[in-house]
Amino acid sequence: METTRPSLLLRLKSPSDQGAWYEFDHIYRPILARFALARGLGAEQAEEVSQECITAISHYIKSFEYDPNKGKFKAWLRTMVNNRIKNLHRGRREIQAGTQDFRDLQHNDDAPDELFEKLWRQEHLKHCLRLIKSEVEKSTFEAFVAYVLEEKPIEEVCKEHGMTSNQVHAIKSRMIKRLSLRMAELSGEQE
Amino acid sequence: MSGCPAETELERYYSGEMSEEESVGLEAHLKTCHSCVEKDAVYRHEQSLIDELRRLSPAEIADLNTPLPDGKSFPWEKQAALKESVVAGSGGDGFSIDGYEIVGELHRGGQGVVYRALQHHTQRDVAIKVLIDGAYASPSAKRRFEREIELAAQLSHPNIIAVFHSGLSSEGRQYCVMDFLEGVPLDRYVREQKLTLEDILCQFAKICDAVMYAHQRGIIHRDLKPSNILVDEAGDPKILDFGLAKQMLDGAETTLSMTGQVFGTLPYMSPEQAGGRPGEVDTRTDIYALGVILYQLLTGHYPYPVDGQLVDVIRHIAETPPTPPSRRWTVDSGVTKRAARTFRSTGCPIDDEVQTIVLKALAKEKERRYQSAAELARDLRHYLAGEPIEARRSGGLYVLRKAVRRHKLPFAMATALFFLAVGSTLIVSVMYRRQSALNVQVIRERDRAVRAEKKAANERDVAIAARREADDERDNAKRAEARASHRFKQVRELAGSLVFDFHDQIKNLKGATPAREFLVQTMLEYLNSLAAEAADDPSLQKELAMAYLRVGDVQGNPFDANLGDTDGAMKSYHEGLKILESLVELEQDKNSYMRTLAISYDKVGRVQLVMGQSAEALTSFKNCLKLNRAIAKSIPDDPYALRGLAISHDRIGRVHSAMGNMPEALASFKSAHKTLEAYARVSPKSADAKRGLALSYVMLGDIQKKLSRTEEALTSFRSALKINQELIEDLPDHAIIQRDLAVSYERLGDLLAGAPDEDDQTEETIACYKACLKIRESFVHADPNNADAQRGLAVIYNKLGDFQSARDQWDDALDYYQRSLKIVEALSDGDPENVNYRRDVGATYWRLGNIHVAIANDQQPSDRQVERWRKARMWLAKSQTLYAAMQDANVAGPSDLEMLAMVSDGIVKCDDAIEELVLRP
Repeated sequence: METTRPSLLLRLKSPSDQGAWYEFDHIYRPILARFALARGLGAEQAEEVSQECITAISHYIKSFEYDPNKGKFKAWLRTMVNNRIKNLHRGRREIQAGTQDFRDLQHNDDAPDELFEKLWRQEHLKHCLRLIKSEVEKSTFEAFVAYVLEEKPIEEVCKEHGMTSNQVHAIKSRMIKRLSLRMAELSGEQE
Repeated sequence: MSGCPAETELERYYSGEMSEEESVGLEAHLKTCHSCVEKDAVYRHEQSLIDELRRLSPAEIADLNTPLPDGKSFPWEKQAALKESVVAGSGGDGFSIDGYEIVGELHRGGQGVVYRALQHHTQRDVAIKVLIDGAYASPSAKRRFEREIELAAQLSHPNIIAVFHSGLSSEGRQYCVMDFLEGVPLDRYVREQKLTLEDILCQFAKICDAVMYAHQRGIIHRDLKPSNILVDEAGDPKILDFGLAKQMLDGAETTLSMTGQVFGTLPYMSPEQAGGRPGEVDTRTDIYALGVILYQLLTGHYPYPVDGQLVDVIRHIAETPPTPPSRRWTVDSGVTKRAARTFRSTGCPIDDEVQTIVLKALAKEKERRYQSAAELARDLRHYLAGEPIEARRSGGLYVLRKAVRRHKLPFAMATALFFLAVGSTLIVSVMYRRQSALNVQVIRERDRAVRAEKKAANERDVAIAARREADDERDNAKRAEARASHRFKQVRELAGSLVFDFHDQIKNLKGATPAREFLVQTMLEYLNSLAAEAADDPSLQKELAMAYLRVGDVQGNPFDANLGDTDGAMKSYHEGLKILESLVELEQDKNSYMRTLAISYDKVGRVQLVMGQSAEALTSFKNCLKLNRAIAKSIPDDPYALRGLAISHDRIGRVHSAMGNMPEALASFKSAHKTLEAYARVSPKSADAKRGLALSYVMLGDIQKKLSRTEEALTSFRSALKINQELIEDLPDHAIIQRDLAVSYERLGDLLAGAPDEDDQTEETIACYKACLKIRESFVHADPNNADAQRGLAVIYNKLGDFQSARDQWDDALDYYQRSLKIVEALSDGDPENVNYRRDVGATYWRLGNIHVAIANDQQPSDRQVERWRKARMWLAKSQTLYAAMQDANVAGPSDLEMLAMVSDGIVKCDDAIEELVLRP
């Protein structure tokens, strides 16, 4: 998951492709916002930070021409959101220098990269799951969620959806393959 | 096993349902069979995906029901903020303006979106620029912006596309309407049409005329760049966005914080813009941008590197002299000349005169640029006509020579920066030298002027000529002086930011201490010398005070990576305090000075606390409280002021508590709590305020517990728990709140555990501890290498063990102690020198010993009872060995020695009991 699907980034450059922006926003805004929250910002500030990042990206994507390939998109996004959070923290330092909870904020900075990685991965997964959800029968998706995500016993899943255990196994296998494909597409591994 | 396994077999294998015998065969096959190796890889990949899916929380699974975005059913209401960056384009559902039909989107940028539209009644093709909300730094910036648009609407010039209408859309967003032009950006046009040097200069003169026209009407562009200059079908350049650009950013404090918004146009920014000095922006800012554009058109490059880190780019703009265009020129990227004659053997058409013009436009100091666009246009036309250019006549060589001379100093800087990066600390001294070099230069030039004057008096024959020379020299001297004072300011800014930024970067590096000490020393010398000059300038004084405080941090702020020089830190803090005290006396900006002073008292207090000067710390915190009270009074209902006030109360409470003045501590914590309630009232949505409230309940509860006001403490802890439970619902990923929640469970559990035994309380105690346990386990799971998380878990295991042990639930207690032991032993094994870890292990052995003693006492005399006593003795002996080793190593504290004595007592009791049982007939 080192790169972001180039086509999505490229599509962003095209003013006529509205869908690209929705898709982009849908995946990345939650990453930014949840990251900011987990790094100790309040809800309003987190919203502000993610908004700023998205705005900056929209700006960057269209008019930043020098070297769009320089640096991986993820690293860039992470740096950008981190810098904004730091700026906010720096601003706060003035007011609440050294208070117990502020120190906590600072100490919580231990593993922001892992956190970002985790959220990045989660939101991509969720996005792909939503894509798949729109592509398959409702009951198929529900059985998949119940059996694989919620780890319900297979008998229960069969009973609930009126399926045989073979059917449930087949759904699991098919859906995982599809998900794997979607994830690969999104991360650009196949392009 | 023959043939490749079926998928169901593989599944059984991976899920562990397969017998060992079968597995061995399968594994052997997987290792050798090519097609299965691949299958295996796919399977493993899918399995890891499944694992990942299983880690999604129920909330996240529920979130899957959010519909996919399709551009139509987008949840606008939910994501109002989103509108600003993703406005529906061609449809009307995002945005509409009466009288226009939006037909498409042209551009989307940091400031807003540009649509193509049709004006209904004229059927005129227009472009509408809609600015995003919140782009203005302040209401006054917004008013300024509106005024400027009005002015810009009055521009009427063939090379300017002016705004002809502006207003507020139905959504309340500012928009401007201008003619739509299907043009090509200037740089692309030059490239595509393969314009020659003369063509470019000719076009450029026209652009300069247009810029001049606008300047004369009081309008500065501020964002000139090739993409803002379109060339129409007839080949005429048209400048867009006059009066639109960046106005909204002007009030912003720093450029750095607005990264996203300035990114795109950064290379064309002037030093005054890039340096975040919007107050200095004037018409000459546009001249600079014109210089960059011309440079780029001629060479195909920027005058200095503009990729890389933002700070680097800004420094390049502020410091790096442009590489002479002829040196950047190459056949592939640069311009060609129509005439056959070329300037150099390389074929570069950029001669000294063009170079002089470009470099003059690109001067870092405004005073040395062309003072108007008309001057620049005039020189371009002189050149095209083959006449001498003015830049040259008024000392073209001088300009170039200066450029070269200027070259050396920034080069020295760059070198110094390089050394800094590898651990040296030359920068400040370089800047010092640079400053003194300039001073020397001023003196020298003055001397020369004096000498020239003397010479003129003595030598009558050449009197006139000499006097003229003297005038020139005197002018030069004056100019050099002005430059020097300007430089001084720059040096001051740079020195401060570089020393501190640099320090921040290296502070966590091992072995950087000598470099940091050197930085501090240099900084102090520098500050002391500056203090003498700053006497009459409040802003400079504040800057100084802040610098002293910052140096204090570096020297000895216990909460920062510091040099451990607490005495030095106190001294620096006091310098800062002294200056700020005098500033608070001033009426102007009183609040800002008071706030700064409050912060510094707070800092001093904390350092004093760490130095063990509790009484002094209390005084500092009380001073801080007084200031914060005044601030909160002067701006009522301000969340930050209330927060600051609450923190002061809290600090005082903590000092009292540490000094054992419980009633005073209680009073302070109550004040803190009351203030935090007010804070939460004015920012009802703030998680920070709620957290503060929860924390203050915990502080209150601790004191109440100490004062044996159990009922009150119970209420406090329960309130803290309730708030944290609410918070975690909103912010499930928030690690700090999870930690707070764990603490409030633990506190409540502790209090309940110590209270008289009642059945429902027992249940609640266990529930609290277990809730805490669950959170701590998740911490360890998330970050297995985090020793603090591990210890936190061990602590709660011990507490559960203690509680169960007190209730005679031996098996449970044993189980908890064993789990705790596993953790603390692993920690201690990983870091055998760590005394705290060893202590943890020793105490856990002791606990295990004790519980076996308790079990033994509970049993009837028998062989099994002897067995118990032996087990107890074994654990106690282990504990004894450990504490004794600590004693031998001279790392045992008083409490450790106490433990040693206690454990040794316990062993004696075990021996007695065993002896009695064994000898019993």
